[in-house]
Amino acid sequence: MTASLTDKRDGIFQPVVATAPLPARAGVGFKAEHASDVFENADPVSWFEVHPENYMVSGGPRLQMLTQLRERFPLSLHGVGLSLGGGEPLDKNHLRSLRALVDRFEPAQVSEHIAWSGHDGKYLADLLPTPLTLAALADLVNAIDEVQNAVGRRILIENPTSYLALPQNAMPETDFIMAAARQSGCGLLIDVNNIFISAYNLGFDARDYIDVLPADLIGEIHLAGHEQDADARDDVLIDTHSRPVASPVWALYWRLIDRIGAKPTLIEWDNDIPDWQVLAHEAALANAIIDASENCAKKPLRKVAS
Amino acid sequence: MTVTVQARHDANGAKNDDNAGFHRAFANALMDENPAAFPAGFDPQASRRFAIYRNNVHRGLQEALAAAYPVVKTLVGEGFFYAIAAQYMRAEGKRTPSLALYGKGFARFLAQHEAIAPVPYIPDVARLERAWLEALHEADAPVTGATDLAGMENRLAALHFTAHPAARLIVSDFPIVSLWRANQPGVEKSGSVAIPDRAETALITRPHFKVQTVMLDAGACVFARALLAGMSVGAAYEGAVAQDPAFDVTPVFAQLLASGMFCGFTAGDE
Amino acid sequence: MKNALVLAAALSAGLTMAATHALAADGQEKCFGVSMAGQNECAAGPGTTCAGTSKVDYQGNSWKLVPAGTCEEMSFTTADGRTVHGSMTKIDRDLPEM
Repeated sequence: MTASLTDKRDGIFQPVVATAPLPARAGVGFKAEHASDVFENADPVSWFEVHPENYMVSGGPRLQMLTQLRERFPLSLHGVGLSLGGGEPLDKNHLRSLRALVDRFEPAQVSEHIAWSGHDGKYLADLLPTPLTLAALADLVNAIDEVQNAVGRRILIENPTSYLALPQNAMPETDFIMAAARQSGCGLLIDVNNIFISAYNLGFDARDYIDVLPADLIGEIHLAGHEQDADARDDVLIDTHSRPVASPVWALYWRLIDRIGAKPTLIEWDNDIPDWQVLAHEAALANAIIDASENCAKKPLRKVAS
Repeated sequence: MTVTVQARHDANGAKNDDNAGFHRAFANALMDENPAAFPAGFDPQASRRFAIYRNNVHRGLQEALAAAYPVVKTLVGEGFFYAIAAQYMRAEGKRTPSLALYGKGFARFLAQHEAIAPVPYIPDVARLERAWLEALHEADAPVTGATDLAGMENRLAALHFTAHPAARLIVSDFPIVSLWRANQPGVEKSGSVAIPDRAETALITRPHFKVQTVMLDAGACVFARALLAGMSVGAAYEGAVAQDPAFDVTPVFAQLLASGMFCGFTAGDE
Repeated sequence: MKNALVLAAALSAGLTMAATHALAADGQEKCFGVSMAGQNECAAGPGTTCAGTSKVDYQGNSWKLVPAGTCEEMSFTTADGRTVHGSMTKIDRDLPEM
């Protein structure tokens, strides 16, 4: 087999399981702290996302809570542990556990990161950078292939957050992620906050990145808050998921969906978790932008009287 | 742009050496004892940025351990806990991408650590916290309680119980349950904590979806351990009386039945 | 040792006593939505996340092994007569500072 940036594979991945897609509205990452609020009234949130790793247990309250959540809402499983960019064979036990969760909860979507998070049997608890090389691309495509076959689904892969440019990098990240998607038949999960952070940290224009992403590949969008860590020696943004979505990230999001149309949009908030109302407000903002964007698109252009 | 390269994995899925070299160097630098370490070939100017990844890794693992062992953390203090958590993280063998049950060998690691020798009860408290976490995530099973034994009143001594998957018995020479209760996260402390000087056994159960901790005395401990091992109620009783001649089976049997430690029984042929 | 009849009566009494203990079947509902702090019986345990951290303060080597927890306040005698002091001896183990 050969791999390249432009080759298309013979066939697009054919899913075995068909589940209703996520609504093209706001969802949020589910937190146990919010369970009472969510089960009482989740408006304006219409779907939820969880990390499957946190549910890879035999039984108990976590799985019970997820069962109840799934009875009421569409669910997205967003993995952090497959280490698709790890350049080594995937963990077969982990794949089996993921498959078991997919079978049990029938999620509307399954996604992972373009990153690596373990090496030589040791999980590293972070999303580490994959070199943007053809060699790494070929490894990534094989890994995605293996996951899609294992779970019987087309998956989405998420663009990374960058804190530094790896010396190995040999191509733009946009080329890399689009090639990975085209060659494996998977879709893209575009994290707009990640693009904003990477652009700030590495010094490129986030709009250039946003504007080349093809609509047909994008299955979901992520939004989150970040924090700035600046001193005399360096100025860097960190992907903390600990604050409201920043204004320029909302602007980039609007720019993206104006062009590609509404997509399922997740608000991620994982540290300093706020009250449900604060998170619900972020979701309402995302819905408002979706509505505004759709209204603009529907409105016919008025001819200016000559 | 059209560039074609050979596939990285061979037919057997063997890993490619160059790409693995990158990951190995990166992973080693993340775990290096020297906090300023970064992979060869990286711009030294970027070392501060590399430290972000390193920090995320260490934080992720240390906070996971702290979430699994909150009472040990309180007992030894934060600074000590995170220092020993960093050593534990480096000493580990395998580590799975799910952190839900992270820290399996921590009690053993503590027991072998010289800094813990002056406070020998700490490893037993860690065993209790580990049992609590395992119980939380154990397989679900219907609990056998008093109502399930209706009509068996005259054959109770001959019964053999099936241990509920979540049931755990932690036997200690130290007052681990009292220590554990007095140091729960969020419990206000005023001055010195009064801890009774006795050996305590913790029975951890998870009837339905909530973990419970019950304290057992020496006789009850023998009785419970025998029942969990599948011995008949009568044989367990004999063992308990041998340990403690004053053993009163009525309240202990009631307590164990109500604790949710059983998920089935068979009527033996005694 | 009690004879079989006495044991049967004692166990039967235990059965009656146990029936009056209400099993917390609603425990799960109570735990929904309760934050972890101070509610150990409802604690959720560790989890995996995809978020980063803002401060570079978990390098792992920046502490010395000097205990400062509630261990220091405790002292008790164990059942077999050993006295255990909570106060921990300072360990001279200077790890490299940041």
